[in-house]
Amino acid sequence: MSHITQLALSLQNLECVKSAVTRMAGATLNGYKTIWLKGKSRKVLELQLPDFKLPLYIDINTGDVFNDNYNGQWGKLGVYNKFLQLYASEVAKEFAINNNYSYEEEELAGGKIRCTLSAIESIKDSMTSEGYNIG
Amino acid sequence: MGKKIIVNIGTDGVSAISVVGTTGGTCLKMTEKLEQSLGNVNNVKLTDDYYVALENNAKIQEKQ
Repeated sequence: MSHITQLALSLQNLECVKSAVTRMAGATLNGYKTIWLKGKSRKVLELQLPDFKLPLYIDINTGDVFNDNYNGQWGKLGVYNKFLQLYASEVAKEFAINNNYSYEEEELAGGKIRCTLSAIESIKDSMTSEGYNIG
Repeated sequence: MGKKIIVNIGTDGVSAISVVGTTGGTCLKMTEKLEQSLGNVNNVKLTDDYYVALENNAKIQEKQ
């Protein structure tokens, strides 16, 4: 391993938002709305998370998420964070599919998710060296 | 060992990406597009393997 990159999510991939919603029981996407936020008009995607009193708004152009859970009284932060995790794993999966990697996902103790992307050429090389005929 | 990208996603959605099976600048290139897809890079930590690869490249160039 030669480097480790740490990053914060930016929700700018609509397809991955949709996939994350599909994976989260009780979450729904309610389409686009135009709302007035932080001094300007924004076209945002409305997301309803399970047990959240108010919907969240995602600006797909900037990746910003607008969320008011009233310090947990109107929705649990853990539910929102789980959605972010699912979104990140969907981005990793899409990257794997588009860039010739295989994809595996596992949930670790403590709630972390580990995604392993293996280069397809490396898999072919190791199978060939082990005597498999893979054409 | 085959080339692998490992993405660890914390319970707060913050992700850490690392590469195994390759060294040096190649691994930075491997993860660049994925990083851009996920969001904003907070921190990049180069490990010993990165510098070993740089040293090896320098030695090869000296011999040539």
